[in-house]
Amino acid sequence: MFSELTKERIQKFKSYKRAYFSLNALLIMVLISFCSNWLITEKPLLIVYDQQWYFPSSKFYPATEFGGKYKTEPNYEKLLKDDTFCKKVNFTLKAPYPYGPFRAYFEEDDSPPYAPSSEHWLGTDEEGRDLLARLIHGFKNCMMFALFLTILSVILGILIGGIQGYVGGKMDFIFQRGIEVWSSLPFLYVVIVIGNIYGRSFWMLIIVMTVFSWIGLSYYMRGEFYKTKNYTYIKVAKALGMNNSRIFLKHILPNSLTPVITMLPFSIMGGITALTSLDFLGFGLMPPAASWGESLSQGLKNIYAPWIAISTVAAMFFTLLLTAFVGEGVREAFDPKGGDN
Amino acid sequence: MKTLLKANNIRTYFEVRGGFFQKVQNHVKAVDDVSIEVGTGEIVSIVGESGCGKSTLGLSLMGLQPMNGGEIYFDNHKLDFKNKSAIKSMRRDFQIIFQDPYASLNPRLTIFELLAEPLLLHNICNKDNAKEHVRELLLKVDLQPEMMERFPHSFSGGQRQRIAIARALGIKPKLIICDEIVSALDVSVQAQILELLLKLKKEMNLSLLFISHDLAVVRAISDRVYVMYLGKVVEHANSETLFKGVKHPYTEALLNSIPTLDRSIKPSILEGEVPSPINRPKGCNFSTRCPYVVSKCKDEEPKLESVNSEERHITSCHYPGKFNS
Amino acid sequence: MEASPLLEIKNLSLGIKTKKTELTLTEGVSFNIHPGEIYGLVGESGCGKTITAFSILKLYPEPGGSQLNGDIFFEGKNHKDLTGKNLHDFRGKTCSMIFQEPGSALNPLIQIKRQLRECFQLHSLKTDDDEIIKILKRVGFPDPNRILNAYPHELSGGMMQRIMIAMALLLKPKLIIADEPTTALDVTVQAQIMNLIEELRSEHGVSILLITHNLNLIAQYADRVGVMYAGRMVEEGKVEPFFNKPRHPYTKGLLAALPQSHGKHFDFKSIPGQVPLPRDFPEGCRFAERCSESLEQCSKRPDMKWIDDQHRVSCFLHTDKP
Repeated sequence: MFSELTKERIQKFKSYKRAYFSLNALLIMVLISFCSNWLITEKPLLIVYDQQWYFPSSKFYPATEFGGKYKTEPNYEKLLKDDTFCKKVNFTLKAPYPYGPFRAYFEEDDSPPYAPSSEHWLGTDEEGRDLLARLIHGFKNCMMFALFLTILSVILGILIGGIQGYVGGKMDFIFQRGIEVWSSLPFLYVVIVIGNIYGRSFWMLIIVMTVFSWIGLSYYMRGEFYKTKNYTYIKVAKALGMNNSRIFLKHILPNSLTPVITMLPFSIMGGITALTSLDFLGFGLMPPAASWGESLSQGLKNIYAPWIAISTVAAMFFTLLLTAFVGEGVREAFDPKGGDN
Repeated sequence: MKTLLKANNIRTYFEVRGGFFQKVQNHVKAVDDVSIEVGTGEIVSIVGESGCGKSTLGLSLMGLQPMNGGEIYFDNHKLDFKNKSAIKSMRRDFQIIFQDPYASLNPRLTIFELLAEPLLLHNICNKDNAKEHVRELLLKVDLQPEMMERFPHSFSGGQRQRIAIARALGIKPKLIICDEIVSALDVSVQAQILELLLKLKKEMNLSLLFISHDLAVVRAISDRVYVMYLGKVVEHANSETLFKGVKHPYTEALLNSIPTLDRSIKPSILEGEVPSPINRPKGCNFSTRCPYVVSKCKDEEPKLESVNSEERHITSCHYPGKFNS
Repeated sequence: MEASPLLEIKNLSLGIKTKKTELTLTEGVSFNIHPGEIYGLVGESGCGKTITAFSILKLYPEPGGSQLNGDIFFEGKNHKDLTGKNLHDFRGKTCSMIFQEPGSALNPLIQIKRQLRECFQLHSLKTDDDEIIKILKRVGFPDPNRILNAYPHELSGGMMQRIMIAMALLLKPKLIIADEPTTALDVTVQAQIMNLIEELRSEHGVSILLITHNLNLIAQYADRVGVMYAGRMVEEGKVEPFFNKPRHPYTKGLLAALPQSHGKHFDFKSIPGQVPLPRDFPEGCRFAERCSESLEQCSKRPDMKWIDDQHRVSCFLHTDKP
């Protein structure tokens, strides 16, 4: 499925140890964070109660199920300390790190934020929520946001930029002027306004950001298509009678994807930074969503509790650094000049 | 021998834009009122130096370069490049091969995909027997069928040109335009490709429109020759007739500039440069460099006229052949 | 011509050595160039003529190219000792070059006059504008001042090549390496340029190494010719007898494959097969697999032997004769 050229490039990427290592590290982090609902939560993975199997971290059970009074979700930690409950418990399996991002923990003679301890490895934030859990769940949010944003922007950028470059002429001229006007809109105001009108959900934010981020890639694609459509083998394709969409999709597009691939890691970095900035300013995800921006702003407010700021900044720093290494490796691997001919 | 391709009064101009609003200021008359004819099973060459418009003419005939005027008849059907559906079926009958063997093959497709694509597009075969067809095509151009799994970059220039020829042949055209197809190849490879073309021409009764700047190659393979200068045809005739006695000063200069193995014949020097196609000379295009120029040449543009109707020798010079001493 | 040669190339072998590959590109190439002579080095792609010429300037293919064996002598001095400032002087001053694509060899952003003056500056010499004007007039610009202020893109291919020739001559070199100087030019312009090169050779007494794949050009303009095939020199001689009676089957094949502008219809014949790639170079005669006259001994490498005073060939068909 992959052409010789692609295989060569993948091999070249693998030979850049730093980039390859970073990619693997990131993939592991993504895996862990996407499974964070089972790995880092205060809800047990499994409770065998009264001979029946329950999976609290995967499914919602009302408290009445366990002999409680209300239909809301029980506080499983309290429940497991209750004797009446424990009598009927055959087996429990807790998550490897049994603290979730939304549960507040309070200690007797102190108020949060609490310093790192053997239980809360990175301490808690100012509301008593475990910081490590929030950071990892936050990573999940950031990454998902960045990935979806990137994928959607790429699709839009390729389509619009590609058609501009391929068709050229008046259509390109008009579109280009349109894009220039569009890109001069202050996107932050738009985000705030739309967020206030339609509410600030994850998907709303993605849609609004996508609508502005495809522009950069479309410039690249427009250039690539303009260049490639004049190549001799494209003239041959036309001479053989192929129609435009076939030439566009089968002949020009695969040869124009290099800037897309090299831009992907940096696009992802941009997405992470964008969401974090929005959250920091308070215009991003609604609380109590776990987000790095929110943790950062807390960290600044509670500078006497330095673990909040330090952990968040460290998390951001390493993530962006690893992504940058991957981006560097991709760019080196796809560099057309680095050949051994 | 019947006429296969008849192109009348082809004009292809390029706009020169300038000024603040990029208005059209002038035109480059790349092809200026050119008419050519190719018969079935005939090899017709168009020869000339850079800037004469021969490649643009080839592209215009294929519909890859929009024309500003003129008509093209193929097999007595008028070609209307704007009518996409009609043209698609006509595309089977005439094809083009380009000069640069490194740029004419999509580097991401295997040889099989490159050759099969036009066959499938024009329903010459279906997915099941495509491999068999491709096999035969490769054998026809003296390449090994095992090569179809490989990518273009592992082949030499000569081999790639063979692949390009195979691709053009697959849909069984009646006419192939060869745009400088051997100019980028070594002498021995060039000879192989030319021999291959001649063999295929015989087998398939192909017509070839051979565009080249190399008079020696043109002389070796053509039946008829058109000589172009600055967008116009200055002379055309049957090959033997032309080379036995040229009638236009430019053709004479072109022929005599070529070094030969015989050191006693020194190449003659044609002074000056080709004039800019934007600022054409008044009168005859060649008047700025013609060694025999007189005042009439600078005032009046000569028309293409027959010099010898039996041998179909036509030239555009006020004093054709009279300069030969 | 018994004057001692200007340039002596003795048994030169060039190759590439990188982490991934190790190849010998040329092997045992030997030839001399005498003062004031035009020596034609002819061959097809992959024969090694260009890298041999570049090695005279001690420039090797990237990455990993180097001289594996042999010696180069210029005016009797070994090139091995040519380093540092001496090498810098050699390149451009004693030995200069004309390239194939004048459009790529000239900097498009710099005016012609600056590029010409740079020739002097690079060798720490005082720029001599009078000399520049003189040379420009000689290479065919009746109005040098107009050209001096121009940029390369304003000139035609022929004009740019004349500028290159002017640049090559400015510092009065002893040897000019002309690498396919007319391949990118029209045939009428080629005649002008080659005529100019010939005239300049007579006036200045400079030697010219003319590299080309165009046999006709060599036949017309060169004094002596050397034919290379797949990294080795196979035949060499004085031009006129050479083309009248070539000995090596490759030379013969090459001449037969050449359509002639004063020839007849269909009068060419191809050589079967392909030039081998460097990694597939056979040990014995490299042309044997394509040769219609090959003998059993051709599995060994033939020596270069003198057939007569000026003509030598590397082929078993000829070297066993007395």
